[in-house]
Amino acid sequence: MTCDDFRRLISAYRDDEMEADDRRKVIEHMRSCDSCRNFAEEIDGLGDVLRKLPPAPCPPDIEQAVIEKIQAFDQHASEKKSFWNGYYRIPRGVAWAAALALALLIIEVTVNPFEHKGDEQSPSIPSESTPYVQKVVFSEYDVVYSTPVTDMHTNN
Amino acid sequence: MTQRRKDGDGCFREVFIRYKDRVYDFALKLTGDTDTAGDVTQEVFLRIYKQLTQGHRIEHPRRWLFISARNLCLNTMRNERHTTTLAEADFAATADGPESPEVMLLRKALHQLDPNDREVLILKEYQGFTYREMAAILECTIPALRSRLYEARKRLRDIYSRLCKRGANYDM
Repeated sequence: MTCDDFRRLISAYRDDEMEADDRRKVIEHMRSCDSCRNFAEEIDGLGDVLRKLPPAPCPPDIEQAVIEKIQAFDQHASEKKSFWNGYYRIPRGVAWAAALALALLIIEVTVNPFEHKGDEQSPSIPSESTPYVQKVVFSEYDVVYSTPVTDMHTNN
Repeated sequence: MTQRRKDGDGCFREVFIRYKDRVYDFALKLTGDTDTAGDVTQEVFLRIYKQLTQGHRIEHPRRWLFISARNLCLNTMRNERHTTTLAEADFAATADGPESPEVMLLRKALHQLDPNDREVLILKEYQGFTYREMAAILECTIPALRSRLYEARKRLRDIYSRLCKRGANYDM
């Protein structure tokens, strides 16, 4: 291992994030290498000074802004909820009546069980006195035969 | 208010009280800008509030907050081409009183670092995360993180030495 490899390990050694085997190697190397020992002391010193930098506490106006944002979020959420609550305030009897009416309407439109059969156009039965004309049309080129019923009777 | 919402609200209060200062401090040290740090803090806590009150379970709230804060900071810096302004960073940090020359120089050195280097140092030195937690926040492996920390420390040491030499030259 080179000194550069050892210095990578020294950084982790300083943070106490190292396997026992590597730790032993680093300690042994630093005993014999002044340059790596100096490096370890330098980063130790820098770490100590870094930790001296005072922490910056969250300013009160930022705290207040967080609280206000949360209140605004809550209010927005409750407004959305109250929109639906408005529908829940309809009297239960009225709601059931409306639901029943809607159900009946759907049934009427789709199934139509109340439809009167007599309204359908059924073939009318000619009476005895009605002159009956038979018409058979196959296509526009076919001959149309039309024979009055009375004539048919007279022919017989 | 439903029970779920009440539980989420209670959870949020605890998280907010415990971590508001640390999230703000992290965002400020990473971006060097008080406005951005404030915006990031607000957004992060609003997001976690929504999550908690909607019944989502957050296993590691501290990690969750720092992942969100870090992503928001990086996005802001990327979108606005944000550059750390030393004056603002210094102002924020010296609000409590004068600093020693070595702390001031180190602050300058820290803000001359690339944000990628700066974030690993902040997470390790200020926030005290373990390598495992940092790897989760930075979305990298532990060996990669070890390497990043080493490189960041080496570059910080180089910049700091350069600033010390320059300072010594000015003193003379």
